[in-house]
Amino acid sequence: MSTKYLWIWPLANLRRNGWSTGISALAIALASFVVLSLSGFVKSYQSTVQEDIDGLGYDLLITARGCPYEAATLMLRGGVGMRYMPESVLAEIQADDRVQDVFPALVHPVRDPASAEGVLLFRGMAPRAFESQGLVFREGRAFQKASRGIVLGREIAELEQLRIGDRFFLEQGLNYPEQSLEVVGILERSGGQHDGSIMMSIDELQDLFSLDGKLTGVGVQLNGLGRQNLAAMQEQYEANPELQVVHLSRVVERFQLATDRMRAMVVQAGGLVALLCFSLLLSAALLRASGEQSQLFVLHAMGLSSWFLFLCSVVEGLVLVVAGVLLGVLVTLVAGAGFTEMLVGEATYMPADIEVLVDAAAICWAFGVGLLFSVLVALPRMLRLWGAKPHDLRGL
Amino acid sequence: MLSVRGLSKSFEGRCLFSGLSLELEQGQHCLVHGVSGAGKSTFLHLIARLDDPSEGTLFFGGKSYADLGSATAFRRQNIGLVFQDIHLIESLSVAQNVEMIACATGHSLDPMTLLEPLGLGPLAQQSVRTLSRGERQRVGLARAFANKPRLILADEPTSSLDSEKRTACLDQVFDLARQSNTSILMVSHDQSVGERQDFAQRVQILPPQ
Repeated sequence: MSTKYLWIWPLANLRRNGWSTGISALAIALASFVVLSLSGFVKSYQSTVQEDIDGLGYDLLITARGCPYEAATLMLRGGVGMRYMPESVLAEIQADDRVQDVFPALVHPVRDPASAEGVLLFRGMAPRAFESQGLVFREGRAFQKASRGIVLGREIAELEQLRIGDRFFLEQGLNYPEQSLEVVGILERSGGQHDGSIMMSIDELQDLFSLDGKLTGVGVQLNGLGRQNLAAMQEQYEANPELQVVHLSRVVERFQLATDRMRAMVVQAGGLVALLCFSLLLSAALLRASGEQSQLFVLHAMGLSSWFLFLCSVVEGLVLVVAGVLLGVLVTLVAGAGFTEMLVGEATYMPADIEVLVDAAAICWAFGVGLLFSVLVALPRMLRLWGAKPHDLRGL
Repeated sequence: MLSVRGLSKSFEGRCLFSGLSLELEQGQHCLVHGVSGAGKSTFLHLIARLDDPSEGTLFFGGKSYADLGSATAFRRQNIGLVFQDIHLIESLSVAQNVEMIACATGHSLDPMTLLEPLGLGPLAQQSVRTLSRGERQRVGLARAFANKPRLILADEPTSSLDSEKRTACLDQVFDLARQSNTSILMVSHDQSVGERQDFAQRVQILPPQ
């Protein structure tokens, strides 16, 4: 048996039923778009959050007491609105034999006097924190202690059009005088919060904004002993009523839980849309089948096997599915990010530069489900055919 | 080739016809006639194994229908069908309607070899939707030859043609049948068809007494 008409006939049928074909393909495209966008977003969210947390470069975060997850989220976001903790704790942590290294941080947002709505984010940190957090210099170097030098993230450097050796002028504010700070380094784009930050030494920052003796957090890198005694460490530092300890692996778990919820939402939303799409396809196919039943019976009567007619039906559905899924992938690539923006409000923490990752596995799944639908849609037509007798059909 | 003995068919207790018999040799043609509702189409369906008889036996090529295996395979190898309502594939062209039957039944065929003799050559690439009923009937006849059958069962195949075209069309159909040594079992009401010398046999289906 030649397979030539396994393609010619289904394609001709699809062309002939233009409206029904178009609507069915659009329904499949919509289902693919929703499923691929949501699953791509969840995948990207998981990996980006993990990268952001890994980028912090430490195991524990010691902050002023409050909600631990809020503290971790704020730390990841760049610290806007954080509470302050006393710097005196730093010496105690440094002296702890379970601690490998410490990364004190002071994050301070300042209303940009040059812009009505803008906020300048100053980040006080140790020079060696650049390396530990995987930040790469595009130009220049890290600041030295008490040099009034600053390092700029790539975005703010571009925005302010500053190069190495230029001076960054900060107009006088409510509690600080006018400042002129030398740009000593510019970072490569990291896709994180540092891109929009102005980084300087903690001492300078405390001095500049009258924040003496204050920190927003201390990142703690543990040694083997520390990792074995996490609970004891947490208990010890939380005995201080001003402090709380955030265990970053638990934060990862927390975000993991959030993404699991999102995944469940994707499955539910995707399932609903797929069901809707299947119902549309099925009703369109049944409508067509009732019109074509006599034709199918005649072809069967003329010796065309049920298998051939079944395959033609499947091919018809498959062509629809391939066209619909490809359209869905295209729309996801163009509009997936915009569509998933509405999920931002649902998530506790939204990393910068998050994108919708459409991978081959997700597309294969969409095609697989589509193929299954094609077979399921073709079956009722064949069942009706197998049960038919000439006297059931008019004009035979 | 075809042997029908004592064939009867009933629907829901009502006897449609009974005791029909026929012996048809390869290459011979037979006309089936009778009043409307007598069961002429049903008789063709029984021969095509689209339905089962209530009583009687059928043989094809010396074998009982019971021993012939799959009905679809039997039709694919032996039977060409022309239905009263034709039922062409509306989404395909004239040539594709013929070629698809050939391809799907495992035959290779240039559809023009069937379309040209029936005067359909110029319409070959047209969609069947644009054809008149008479032209559609001729496509139906061409299609019945596509699987190179031994027997064509044709149900009122020229009912929509005027007498001149009917005569010309049947001349061409019997020519094609002669060339391929195909038998034709034709149902027709038309007196001019009944008068043709091509039919070696005539079967009249009478309403049951």
